[in-house]
Amino acid sequence: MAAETGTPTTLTLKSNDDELFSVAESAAILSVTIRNMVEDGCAGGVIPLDNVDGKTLASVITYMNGISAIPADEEKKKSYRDKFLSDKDFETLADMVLAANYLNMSCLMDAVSAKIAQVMEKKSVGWVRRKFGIENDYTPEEEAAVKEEHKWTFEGVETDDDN
Amino acid sequence: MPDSEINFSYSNVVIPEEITEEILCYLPVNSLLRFKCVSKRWRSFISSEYFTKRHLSKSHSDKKDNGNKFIFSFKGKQNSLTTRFLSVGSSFSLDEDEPIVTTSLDIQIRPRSEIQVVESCNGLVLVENIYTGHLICWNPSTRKTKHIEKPFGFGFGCVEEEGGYGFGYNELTDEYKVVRVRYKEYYETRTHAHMYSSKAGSWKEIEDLDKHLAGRPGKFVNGRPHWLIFGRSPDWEIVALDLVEEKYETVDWPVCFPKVNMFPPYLENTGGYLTLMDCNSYANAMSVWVMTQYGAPESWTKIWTFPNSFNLPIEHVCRSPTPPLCLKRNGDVVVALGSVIVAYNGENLLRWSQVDKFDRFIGSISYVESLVSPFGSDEILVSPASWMMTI
Repeated sequence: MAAETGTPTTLTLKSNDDELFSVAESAAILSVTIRNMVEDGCAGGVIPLDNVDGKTLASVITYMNGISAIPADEEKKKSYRDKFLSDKDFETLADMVLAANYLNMSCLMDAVSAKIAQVMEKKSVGWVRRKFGIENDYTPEEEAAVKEEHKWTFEGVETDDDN
Repeated sequence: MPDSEINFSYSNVVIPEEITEEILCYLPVNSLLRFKCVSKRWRSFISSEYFTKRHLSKSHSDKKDNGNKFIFSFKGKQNSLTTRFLSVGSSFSLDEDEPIVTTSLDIQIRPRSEIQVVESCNGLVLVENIYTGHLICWNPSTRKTKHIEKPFGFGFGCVEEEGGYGFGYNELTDEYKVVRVRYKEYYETRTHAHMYSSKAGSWKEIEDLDKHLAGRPGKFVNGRPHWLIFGRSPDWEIVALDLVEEKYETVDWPVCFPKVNMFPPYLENTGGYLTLMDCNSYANAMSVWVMTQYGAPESWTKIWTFPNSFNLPIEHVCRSPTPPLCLKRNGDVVVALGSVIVAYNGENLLRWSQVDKFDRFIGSISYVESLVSPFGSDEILVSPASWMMTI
């Protein structure tokens, strides 16, 4: 075994609201976007991440550190991801899925997408429209007809509390 | 969403459609059908063939673990010509101590009749009306059905007695195929075979299978239906039909499989794996062999010898040979003993639950949830109430 070569390389990441974060390169390169920058030699100074705000970046870094500390054990990684996402609300998850997409972190992207789906699963149509900012372009008659076609899927839907 | 220019937005954040699409892939079919009401765009996207295929491939990649759902069928009340279906799932995992959820399924069929499940493929379930021989392709998740006329010259049909069906999907041509193999005459070993194509919407005759079929429905694994063939005992064979070439091929038999004495083995599909069950020692136990890597004869592995009945604190546990419903990645087996569903790790009974107290149990089969339309968009329109098969 080779001796440790001093301190591990640390990268500095900057969020779009100008917060600075230090993170071990070995954890940060879970992001393919960051890894490409490191490989291209663009990671010397501060790495600006223009599409991620400080709050979300802090959370993503917590995830990077947490998941890279787990040895190659898919079961343990999965249970870490489940726990990491368990208490997040829809808005936080939405920020995170965008960050994961921008940073090109497929494992986080898949986990957050699945988690959002789990949150949505029993929600009403109105809840989905609000959270995804979608305008209802059906006439009342058209909407009633579509609903009638799949009537049974409206059983057991949660009442909206917007959480 | 390929032709998209619109972005969804909420508060200050914009969720692009490509990410929405990722999220929708993880939703169960029930939620997706409800969300067709969100907007016209969501409706056409969720209904699209593109999304149907993406969603299906996501279900398939999860299915080895807990993407499977199960259908249990029960006979109707005495003298009633109906079959009742219950869907169970979508997971039967040990991590969850929650009670398992069952949903009663309606299948729209005319006339009312007793029907039996043949096989499932991509979320479609092929069922047969055992009195008329008619076939129905059914998606239990979307509740759509399509009736298939029986091939010319077919009289009263019964899967168990006369031959065997096969049901499968040909990815190359994007076609679903139903194969009907039947003896020409009762004492003949030659069979004649017909194949139905979802694209053509009709039957055609295909090459005869010059073998003696064990007479059970074919099992769809790795893109082909497979049948068990009676050779001269113990020389049993598995024959697969290549749906592209329309040729029969023999699949290698496990070298170490016990010699067949009295009871024929069962050929099964355990959540996508070709499976053989040895029932000869079935007074005490039953061994289950799985081809863990399709096409590799050396990959036949005896995964379990499991007792036919566990010491369950309930009466009337089914004691006949029962194939596993699914094999989990960690090696656990889920098996239905009548209407009791059991998870077993080879040594210990991990969990069990009684799906239903209804005792006229017919059978169980596993399927994946999908949006796949039964054989294209050409569904029959059924009027409500009178055609519903509920009890």
